[in-house]
Amino acid sequence: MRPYITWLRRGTGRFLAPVLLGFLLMALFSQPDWMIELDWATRLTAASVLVVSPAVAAVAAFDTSRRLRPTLTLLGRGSVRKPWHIAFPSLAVVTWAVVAYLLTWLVAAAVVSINDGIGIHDWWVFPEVVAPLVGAGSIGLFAGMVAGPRLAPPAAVMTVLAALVCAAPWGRGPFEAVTTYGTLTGLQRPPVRAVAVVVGVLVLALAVATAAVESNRPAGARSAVLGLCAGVAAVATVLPSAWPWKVEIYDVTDEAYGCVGSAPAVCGPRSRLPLLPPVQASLAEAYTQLAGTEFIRPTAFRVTRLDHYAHLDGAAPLDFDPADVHNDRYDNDAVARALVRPHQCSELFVASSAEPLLQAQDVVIPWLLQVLAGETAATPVPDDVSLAFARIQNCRPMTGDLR
Amino acid sequence: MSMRMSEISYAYGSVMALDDVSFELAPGVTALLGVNGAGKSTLLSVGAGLLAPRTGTAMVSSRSLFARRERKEALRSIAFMPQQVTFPSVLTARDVVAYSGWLKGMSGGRADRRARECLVAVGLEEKMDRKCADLSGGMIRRVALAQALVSEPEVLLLDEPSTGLDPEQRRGMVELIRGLPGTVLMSSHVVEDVADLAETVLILDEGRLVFNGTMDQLVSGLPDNGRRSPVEAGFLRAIGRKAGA
Repeated sequence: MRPYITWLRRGTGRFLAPVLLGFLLMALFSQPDWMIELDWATRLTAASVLVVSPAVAAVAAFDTSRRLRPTLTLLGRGSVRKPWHIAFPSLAVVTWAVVAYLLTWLVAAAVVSINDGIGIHDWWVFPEVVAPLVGAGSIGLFAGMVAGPRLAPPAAVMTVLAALVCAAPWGRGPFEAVTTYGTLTGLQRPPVRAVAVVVGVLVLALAVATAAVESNRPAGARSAVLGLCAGVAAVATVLPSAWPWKVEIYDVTDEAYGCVGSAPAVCGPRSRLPLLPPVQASLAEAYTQLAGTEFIRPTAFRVTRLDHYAHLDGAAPLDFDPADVHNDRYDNDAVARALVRPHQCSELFVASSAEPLLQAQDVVIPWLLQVLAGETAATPVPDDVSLAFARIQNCRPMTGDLR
Repeated sequence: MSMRMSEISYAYGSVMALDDVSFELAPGVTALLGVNGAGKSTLLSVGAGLLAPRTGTAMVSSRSLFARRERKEALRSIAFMPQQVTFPSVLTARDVVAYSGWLKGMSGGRADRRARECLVAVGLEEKMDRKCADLSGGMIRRVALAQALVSEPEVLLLDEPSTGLDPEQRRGMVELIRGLPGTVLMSSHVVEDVADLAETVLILDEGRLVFNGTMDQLVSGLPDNGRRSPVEAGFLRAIGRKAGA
């Protein structure tokens, strides 16, 4: 392993790492909404794999074609070691890229911890980021072994992009990590699809790396082996996306729920309960402000995701987003949106009947915002607002799942 | 017997680079001569296990270089100094030599120690921690020699070791090679180096071995006319004899 350490110390990856770290931190801090939920932060940085993978492939191709070749690969043919040592420069580049991600996640974890946020629950993000980097490194290795120094880096980039394009008709390609641009509260990820994607990328990496090693054999590359590697790589690129999955990427969580406070109680998955006290406090304050009005004030709100209303049990649905919590307060916008949904109206899912309800909400919400901001008194309630809210209260409640 | 090549043939596509070459190396220095394109580098590459011959066998220390079960041990016994060397510019001389030792199965620590010893032996003690980008051509050649020595091979294959060196550097390289233990097969264009070092001579012409004998046999019967060295004359006679046959 000594040569691997040598390439870590001397290869181009050590310059890639700080650039990558800067880029990832910039991407992370470009929006602050993740700062109380580490799952959100990790998924936000995972989105960058799409851009980082081609860069890793290019740098790996550069080090292989310009540094490892021609002399060390020539001498390597006469080596008593297994031929996989030619992968060390690429492996070093991948290592540095992973280090950049780890440092970014450590920074995110520190910020979330300072903000008393929620720790990681979706651990699949880690292999989902590392596996594409390994795949990109192997593509860089192959390009570096077969192409000249000038051609190898762009060829590696084009190969990574081609893999993305090939898988695109079926959805997510091998160099994309599952991303969300919002909270995972109320959601969980069935691991089977994550496993399939990770395994697919690693199979792709192994096939491509095998072809690279084969290209350096003293007897010359055997075309049958290269053909097999190409076939396996092609299948591994497309299959995880094209497979007729019966499970979705994300599903409603089966985690047990708990509640905080009363009047109203706010209920959510137990792991997310620490995020809910500001929500409960802001809603309770709103209830006090609306005392004396005819507004229905549900006794409980329940976090719902993916239009899953089967377990509301009389609670009002809450479309909770931690980004709506600032300075220990649930934003007035979010409070207002919650208050205009004492139950989920089934009419909202039918185009022809949704419009009147949406218009009714548009009448109620501005008034609620003025009340919550203290700009107007809650009583008397204007007639148009009363009528609008009556329309909302009398809709047909949704009691099942939409899908 | 250190190395024996039997009926070796190698082709680049349809071009026959080696044609039924057979010889056995004796301990000491053997010179491999031939005009450009004669097949010298190809022969050395086959002997180093870097190219697999189309036909024939290569044995090192009684082990076959290309038989699966024996190859690893055979490779331990040989080392190769390429003619064209491009070491990674970002690696130091010590990195490169230790790397070569590791490739030959040495542990990291032992490879590092031997790298230091070999670089001292080739006169690069002060430069061993300099990056290859900062070394002169002559120093790079000495690093190339050091990486071949690091694993203490029985058979050393040197491809044009004096290439690109000025006369003083060449002299230094000759002295280094003169002091090497074991069996050395070196190709060269520089007749004076061959005359100085080699006890045995192999001459390739168009991929065929046209001479295999001692230096005395090569130059026997040739007058010393002061304009051309006996070795050069013997070489020309060897390939001329083949041409006239």
